Amino acid sequence: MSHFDIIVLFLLHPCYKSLDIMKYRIGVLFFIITCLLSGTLIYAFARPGTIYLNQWLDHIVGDNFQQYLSAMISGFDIPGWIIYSLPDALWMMALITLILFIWDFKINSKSIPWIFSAFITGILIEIFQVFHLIRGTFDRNDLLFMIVAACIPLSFTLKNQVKCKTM
Amino acid sequence: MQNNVKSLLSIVGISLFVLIAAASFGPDEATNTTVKIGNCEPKPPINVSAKVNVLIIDHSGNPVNAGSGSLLISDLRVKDDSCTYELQDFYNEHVDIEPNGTYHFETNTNQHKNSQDLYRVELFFRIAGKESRTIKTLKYDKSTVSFTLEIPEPEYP
Repeated sequence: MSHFDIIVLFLLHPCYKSLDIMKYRIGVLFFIITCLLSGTLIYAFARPGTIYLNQWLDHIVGDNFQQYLSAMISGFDIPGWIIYSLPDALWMMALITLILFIWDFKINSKSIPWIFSAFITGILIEIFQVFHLIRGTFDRNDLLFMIVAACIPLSFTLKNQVKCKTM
Repeated sequence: MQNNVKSLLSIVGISLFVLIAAASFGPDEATNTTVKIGNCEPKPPINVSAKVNVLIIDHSGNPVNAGSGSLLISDLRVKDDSCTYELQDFYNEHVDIEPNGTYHFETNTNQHKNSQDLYRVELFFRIAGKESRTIKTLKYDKSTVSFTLEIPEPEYP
């Protein structure tokens, strides 16, 4: 069974516990890493070299590597929401999925405070930009994308939880 | 897994993700940036503030309430003993466009006494998914700077 199959089963199967638990865990971790890597790639290709992430990339891979990546996509007109909002959404989806993973994909009185903390942490990072408590430019679209991204793994988990209880 | 272990892992997980988010920030490009200095020439001391006006317009030139951004203003003054800049004051303001498509900001009054003393005004603005960065300077007695940004052309397939 490939990682992709496991992710699809996680999303579609109402009772994921029936899957091989080890494969399932690897699949979820693969999904989290894929979300983070996708966001990182968007930053590397489409954001300026002054961002710390891109500076590290230049430092690790070699001088002007990030400029080389930027030049590769210079001819394409990439929508703003992909460049600015999607990485935030992927980050939020990975974080919420990680917290759900730690708490065995159960939404209950023990896991809710941590899910809420993770969600609020992500939202505060964006809100703090309004008040210049951290660097960056506040954008309502980023906030909207993050909220939607947090809801996706939560709604799947909630749906699976309800289905499993009724089976 | 014990609940306290899960709690610990949750803290570690959230902290790790905050670090990842921090990696997407960049160094402030305004506080550590100066402009090319010209011939320094002492001038009569004057009190001057920087007044910034931002106007957002559509393709027809009508003001519109759209976009948001950051306004970074550095008050750069020539050192007494050498013709080099020293950052005296710094402002970082969130640009929230008013319903009539405008935004105004005025700094505190500062004293300029050299022909090269200036305000460096930088506007980061994101509108309809496009980001722009514009830098303007206000030398010695100049006090007003205006930015007019037009909504980008819609993208048709």
